[in-house]
Amino acid sequence: MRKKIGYYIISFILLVITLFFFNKAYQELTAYSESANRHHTVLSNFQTLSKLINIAAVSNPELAEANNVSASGGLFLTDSATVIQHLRLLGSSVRDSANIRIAKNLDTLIRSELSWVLSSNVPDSVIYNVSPEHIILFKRIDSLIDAGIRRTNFLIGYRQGQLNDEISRARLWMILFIALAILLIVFATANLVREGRKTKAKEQELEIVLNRISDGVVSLDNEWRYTFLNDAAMATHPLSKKETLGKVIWDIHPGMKGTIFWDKYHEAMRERKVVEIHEHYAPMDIWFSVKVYPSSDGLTIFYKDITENKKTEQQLSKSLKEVIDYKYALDDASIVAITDQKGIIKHANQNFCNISKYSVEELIGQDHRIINSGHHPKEFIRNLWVTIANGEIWKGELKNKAKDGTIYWVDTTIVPFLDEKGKPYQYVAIRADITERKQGEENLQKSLKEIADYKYALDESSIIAITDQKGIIKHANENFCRISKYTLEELIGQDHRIINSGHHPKEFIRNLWVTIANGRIWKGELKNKAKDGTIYWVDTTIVPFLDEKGKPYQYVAIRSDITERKKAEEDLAFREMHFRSLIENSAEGIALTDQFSNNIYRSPAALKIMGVLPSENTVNLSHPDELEKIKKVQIEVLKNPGIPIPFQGRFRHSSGHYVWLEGTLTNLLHAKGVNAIVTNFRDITQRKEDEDKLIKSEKIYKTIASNIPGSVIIMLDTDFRYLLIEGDLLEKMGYSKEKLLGHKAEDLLPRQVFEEVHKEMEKVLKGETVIRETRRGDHDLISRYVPLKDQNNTVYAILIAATDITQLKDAQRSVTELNRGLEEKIVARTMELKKSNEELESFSYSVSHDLRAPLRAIIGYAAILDEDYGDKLGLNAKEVIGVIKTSTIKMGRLIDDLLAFSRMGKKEIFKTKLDTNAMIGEIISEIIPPGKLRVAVSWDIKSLPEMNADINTIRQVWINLISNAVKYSRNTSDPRVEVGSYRNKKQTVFYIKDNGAGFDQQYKDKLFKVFQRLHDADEFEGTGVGLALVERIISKHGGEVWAEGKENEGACFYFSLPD
Amino acid sequence: MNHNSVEILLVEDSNADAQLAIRELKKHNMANNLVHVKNGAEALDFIFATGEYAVTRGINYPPKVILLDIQMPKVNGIEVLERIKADPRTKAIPVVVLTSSKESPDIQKCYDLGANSYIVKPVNFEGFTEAIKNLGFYWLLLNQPPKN
Repeated sequence: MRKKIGYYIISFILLVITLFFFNKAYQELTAYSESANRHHTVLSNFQTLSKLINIAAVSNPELAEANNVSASGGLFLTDSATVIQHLRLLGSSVRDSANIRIAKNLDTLIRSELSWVLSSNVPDSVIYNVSPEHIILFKRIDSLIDAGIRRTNFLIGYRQGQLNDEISRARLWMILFIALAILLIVFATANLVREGRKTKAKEQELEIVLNRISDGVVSLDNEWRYTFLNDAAMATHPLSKKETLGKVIWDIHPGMKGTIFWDKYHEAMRERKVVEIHEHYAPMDIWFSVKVYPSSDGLTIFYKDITENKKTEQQLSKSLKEVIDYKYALDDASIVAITDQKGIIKHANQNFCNISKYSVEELIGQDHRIINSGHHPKEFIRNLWVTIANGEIWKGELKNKAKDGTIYWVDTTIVPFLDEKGKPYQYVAIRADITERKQGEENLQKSLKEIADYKYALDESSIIAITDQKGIIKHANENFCRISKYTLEELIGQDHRIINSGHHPKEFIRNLWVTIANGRIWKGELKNKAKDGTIYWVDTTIVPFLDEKGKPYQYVAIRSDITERKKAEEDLAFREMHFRSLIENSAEGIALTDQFSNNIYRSPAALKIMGVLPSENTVNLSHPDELEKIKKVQIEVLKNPGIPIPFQGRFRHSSGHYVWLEGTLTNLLHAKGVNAIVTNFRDITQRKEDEDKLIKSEKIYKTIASNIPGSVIIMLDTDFRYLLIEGDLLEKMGYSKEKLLGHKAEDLLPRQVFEEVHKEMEKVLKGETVIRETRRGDHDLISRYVPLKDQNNTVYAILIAATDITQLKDAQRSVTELNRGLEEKIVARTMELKKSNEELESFSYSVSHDLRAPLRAIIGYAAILDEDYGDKLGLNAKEVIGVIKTSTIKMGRLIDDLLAFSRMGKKEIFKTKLDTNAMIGEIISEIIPPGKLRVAVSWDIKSLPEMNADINTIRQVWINLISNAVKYSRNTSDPRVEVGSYRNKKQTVFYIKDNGAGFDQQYKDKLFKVFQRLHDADEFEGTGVGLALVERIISKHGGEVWAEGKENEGACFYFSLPD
Repeated sequence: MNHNSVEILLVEDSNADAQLAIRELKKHNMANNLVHVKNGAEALDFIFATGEYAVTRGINYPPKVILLDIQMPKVNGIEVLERIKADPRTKAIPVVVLTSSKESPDIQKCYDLGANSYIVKPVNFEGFTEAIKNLGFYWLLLNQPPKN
């Protein structure tokens, strides 16, 4: 096709070139013909001119003669104007340079010859211009014209030649191009014809192919008419091919209307697009797969019957579903993994993950080495691989290791999936967990082996138990069961705690375990507990069995029953311990002597009582006063074997003093296992002494009680029995000593009284001392209940000392009465005082106000006097007025101070923590404006602690004291003021010291009184209230104020503030 | 004198104090329209246009400022102040309290009742006249009463 276009393009270009040349040739021809015409015009112009000249010359006979022209040609045929006109014509028509030159020369010559023509008429020329000159001129003109004609003829000839050349060249080109064009057209046409032939052949071929293929092929035109049917299509068309062609499809297959096929065909036709249909066509009960291709003039439909395919497909999907079901079942029941041909895991199901404890993510991409336990020999694994790599199924049992190291057994079937070449492309491994079975097998094998070795030898003789490394019983022989009274089933899986008696300390058991866990054999005696709780002893040897790494994997305990022996040992030990502890822990001393009273044994208590003695004859320790008595006892003892004989007496302690002993002696010389005289005794020294003391104290109590009138001393034993009553008070109250002594308080006292007393006495028995005040009848009593304690701090009696305090009580009652009256009085007085205070307050207030009013009038009118009449009164009067004014101002200040002082009395104090340093700094800067003093004060302010004070009033204190210090030191040449503080008990003392005027120490008490002054008003101004105010404020704060001073040497004021 | 054009009402029982105050105000040309009453009762009559002032005065012509002494017999200054400030017709009148002592508890009470300022009557006369002068200027010339 491309070629074809190429041909046509070349033809077209040739044609264009041809036309171009034609045009060019035509243009040139036109140019040549034009120039040829011009040359002809020039030629004719020359000829005309020649003729005119000749005519002109004819009119001149000489010329005519010279030119052989007949003069009869006619006179006057031409005139000079025509000649000039032609001459001009010639001039304008010439182009050739030679001709131009000729024309110019002609022009000059003719004009000069014929100029006269212009001014005369022709005959004149004949008359006047016949001369040889003219003839020459004419001849020259004539020759010039000849030359012009010749030149022009030459030019015409030349041009003609050129033209002929051009024409022949153009003709040549034209012939060439036309030949080429014809050639091309012929070639293209030949091509077209050939192609047409080819197409037809192809169409025929296509038809043959279409007829051959199994798919039905049908072509329809735009009007749905059949234009083509292949052979295969005939199977679904009822009529023959010839009958069908040209018919409308819907007429042949009316059942198609309204089906998907109808819709889709229309869609393809309408939208000119390829449509595919896979549908069941009901009228024929056939599944069709249809492809519709739109063509330029209709549709081409390829279709085939896929009914068989569909059926297969359905069957396939059914069996696929079954396969999936199988897979599910397999997945659910088994451990499934899929690996590729290299053994890389591509899939693992949940069961696989569960047993291997890896997540799917951890497994995918790994090979099975991840779960390799290392248990199987290489040969075994290689065999596995060879089998499955050859496409055979492998079955076997594998021991695998999970992520956490636990071992599991799986019954494994590996199925290779083969590709079309028969090579495995993946393996599906289906496993079942048989760990338990395997472990059982393993255990069994191990047990079998070991037990075969030992069991027989040991079983009969010993108690055998085998545990794993954790102590779990894995085996126990018959003897073990018999002694522990557990069945084998009960024992297996338990640890030895099942027979632990709890007898052995933890340390002991731990030691056992450390020994065997380190692989060493442990031997020892163990006390165990059988199922029924009975205790048995076993002599035990525990042998650890070590694995290849030297770690114990099981322990074999071989025991022999030593219960009897142990029991005997224990019994003996127990009995001995029992008696020993009886003897050794007894507070009673126990001593064994032989028949001669020589010492055999003394218990710890005996040693404690008697001290450590050499083995001395006991009787000899007796106090000399009682030696005989003891000897008698000794004889009696020997006479009466088995009968305890009591004794009491003093014996010498190892340290030399005597102790009182009381006890029994028993003759057991013939008793088996004793063979001694047994002495049981206790130390009664304290009791003896107490008894003595009691006797003594009784005497003392009696003496005391009988000597204090209005009192009684009573002693009761722990049963509240009256042991002693002394003193007159009891009888005063109506009790008799004789009736009480020896009787219990419970029986004698009134019920209510006893209950009251009983409570107190119970307290006393516990060791407390109780004091009670009671009123019995007309008597007020104070009773003191005192516990009497022996050496062991045990209360053995109660001492009650009661005193009659009726008189005292009466006095107390009257005092209370008096107090109450007093309090009432105080309240009343306080009220009065308050009232009078208030009155005083309002009095001082109104007084100070009213006092000020006349002062204002005095000073005011004095001012008026001064202002209005000052000039008339003279200088003395002004002084007088000045005195009035200053006195009045002073009076006013006095009133102000007095007012402040009196108000201070009722001001309340609110204490807060105050920064003393800051306050003093402020005050100094306020009261002494800089530059006002004659001599500057040198300040010495120490670092001061905080004050706990009322800010407003304490400030007044500081102001007054500091301004005083400044005031009284102003006449000194070098005034100094010191402010400091010190601690005194729970107070802070502040002081302000100056080196000014000071004061006489003998008047110091007057310093702080109102209106009391120690200096003249002329010397130091003041009202005498400032320090009184200070005193009042400080005393309100709970502090004190005082001063020290010496005349002309300075003063120091102190005040204290409590914390 | 027209009682409706009073600028200063001086309430003062002490004749001497009153004369001194008036003298001082006069010096500064502020006593032209001054009325001096001698006790609280009369002051109330004047302010509320009752009693002897019922005819001569209208309540709608209040004085521009009242100088009020606290210490007075019968009706004292505090009661007068109380009445003035309690009545909506008169409470806008500026009241300057005159007192003998600046430490008097009465001052606080007067402020609580609505007094506008106070002057301590000092013994020192120059101080007093200075205070009167300044106060008179302030209240008469500078302080504009609220418009009705």
